[in-house]
Amino acid sequence: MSDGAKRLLNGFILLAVILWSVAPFVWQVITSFKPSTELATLPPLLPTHPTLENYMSVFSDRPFGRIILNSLVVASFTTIFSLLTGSLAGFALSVLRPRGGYIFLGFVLTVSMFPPISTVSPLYIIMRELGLRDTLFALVVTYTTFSLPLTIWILTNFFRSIPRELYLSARVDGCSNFQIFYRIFLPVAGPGLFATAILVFIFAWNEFLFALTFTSTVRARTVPVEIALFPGVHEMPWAEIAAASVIVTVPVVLLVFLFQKRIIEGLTAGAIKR
Amino acid sequence: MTRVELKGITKRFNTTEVIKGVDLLIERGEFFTLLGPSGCGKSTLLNIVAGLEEPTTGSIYFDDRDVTALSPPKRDVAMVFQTYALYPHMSVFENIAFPLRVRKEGQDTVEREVRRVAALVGLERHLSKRPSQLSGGERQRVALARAIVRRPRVFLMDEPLSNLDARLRIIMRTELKRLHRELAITTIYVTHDQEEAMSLSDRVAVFHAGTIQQCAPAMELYRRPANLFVARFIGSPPMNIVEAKVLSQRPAVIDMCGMTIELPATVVAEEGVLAGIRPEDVELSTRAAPAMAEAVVDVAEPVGVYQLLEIVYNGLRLMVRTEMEDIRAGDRVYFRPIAERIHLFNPVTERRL
Repeated sequence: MSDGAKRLLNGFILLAVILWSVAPFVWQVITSFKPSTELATLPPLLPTHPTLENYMSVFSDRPFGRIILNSLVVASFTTIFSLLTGSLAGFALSVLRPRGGYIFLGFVLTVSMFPPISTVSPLYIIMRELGLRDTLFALVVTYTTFSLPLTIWILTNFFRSIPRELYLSARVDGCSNFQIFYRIFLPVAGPGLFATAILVFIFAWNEFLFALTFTSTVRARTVPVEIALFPGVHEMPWAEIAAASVIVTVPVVLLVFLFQKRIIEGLTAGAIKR
Repeated sequence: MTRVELKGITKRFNTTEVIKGVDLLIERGEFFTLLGPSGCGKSTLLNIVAGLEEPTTGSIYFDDRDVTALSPPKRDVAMVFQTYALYPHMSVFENIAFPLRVRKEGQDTVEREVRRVAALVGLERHLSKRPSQLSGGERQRVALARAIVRRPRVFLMDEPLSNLDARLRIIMRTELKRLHRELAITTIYVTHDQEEAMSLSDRVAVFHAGTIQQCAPAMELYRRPANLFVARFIGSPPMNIVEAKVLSQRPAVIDMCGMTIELPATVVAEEGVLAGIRPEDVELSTRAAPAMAEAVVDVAEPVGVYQLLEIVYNGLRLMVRTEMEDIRAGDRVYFRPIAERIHLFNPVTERRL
């Protein structure tokens, strides 16, 4: 095959993959701009009279602003707590090498093996007894525990890829372990922290099952649950669902695009020798 | 200036004993080198002095004070690593300033000291750069500056020049020697390069298989190696080791592949011995002379100021160093080992006789 043909084929495959993965989202975007009369008809594929009506009604008919704020608070605090705990644990496991570190890592991994559905009932009972039902705090605590295995694993590996001499050198230079952690290892591990943060944030932003179970009112409800509650008794507001989905997806997509380079740096660091 | 003393140091990792009982006394202001092949435990010993590793048994004294239980910061030592271990997210200035910042020195002191030390190692122009923008030699200078800036009691260096290319290594060697003369800080230096050890140190301890083989001034190691290991390890190219028969004990006469050599009377040789002859301790001539044996040059390697020859005599192969330039492979030469410089070793204990 000639080079040109090869490139053409590559391009074609790439296009097919992109279409395959982006199509549902594109469909969602198109739907969100359609007036209600064109919703269930095809053609037209594109709206003949594009409208912002759906977006407006999401905010005017429902407490969507508050819901987004809930989601933001939950996802942000989950990220902060998860990274705080995870980076300390990762530093300890990789650099200070406590006895039984590997057993601990294995144990941490088993935590993430339970399907959420198997823990949702006991957790619900615990939250109810603690009086945390329908609070943002309940979600932050739950999400933090569920994201910690991932965080600890990524950061342990990341810290492990930092040359040990850096630790020894800082030790001799007079640092305590904690000083070494925040003055040397945290800054050097910046890209890794960043990548992990985004992964955790997205997880918390999208989580549905626990959010549905633990919350009951606007006080603590998050975006995925709210969208799931859009359908009324007699109508299915597809266009509003689409608009709401777009609203909450776009920021995440933008975030990833903006920091793409650093995320890839973080995820591949240590994989190749620097 | 601090005197460092190691008493009965051993170190065991699981079941393998890496260090098998080391006693050392390093004098105030001395440049002391631990020399040995890779994996002999010399870096572990250095880490034990630094406090980065705990000895399994034994104690470390700084000026008669037991520091065995002290953490690295409390021992007030500075260390330079083979990989430099610079902090990649900090500028050169901040790297050098780091030990002072940890000690919470004032900004004025930090500024003054960093500039003073940077001038000492020639880094003034690079202070605002990141380590990744520097060459290997410059990075090494930053590592040195960071160690010097605190005026530590003891200076520890773990193969600091091994990552540099040959030319730079020699330049930095001279610089290290100059720095040591100016600062006069007790220095313990670890290397596998015997030339580096010889040229830098006041005294050298040859380390092998977890024990010290010999501890002496550099020239003494060269002139009177205590055993076969030291004899082979010190000197480049290495010493020729030849089996020899003892013909007479007093005066000592040995036979080496049919060549009879009379040794100075001070040598008392036993039955069979190993004779060590340095390539530079062989007299060589292109013309026949009494008491010289005839040999054929098998390989000739010109190195510049001298030539290395491998000569064959009666099945015996010897490395010989000569300043004669017009000798080629296949030529006939006449040689004689210089009797006063032959080293004899017991073939069983491998100790010097």
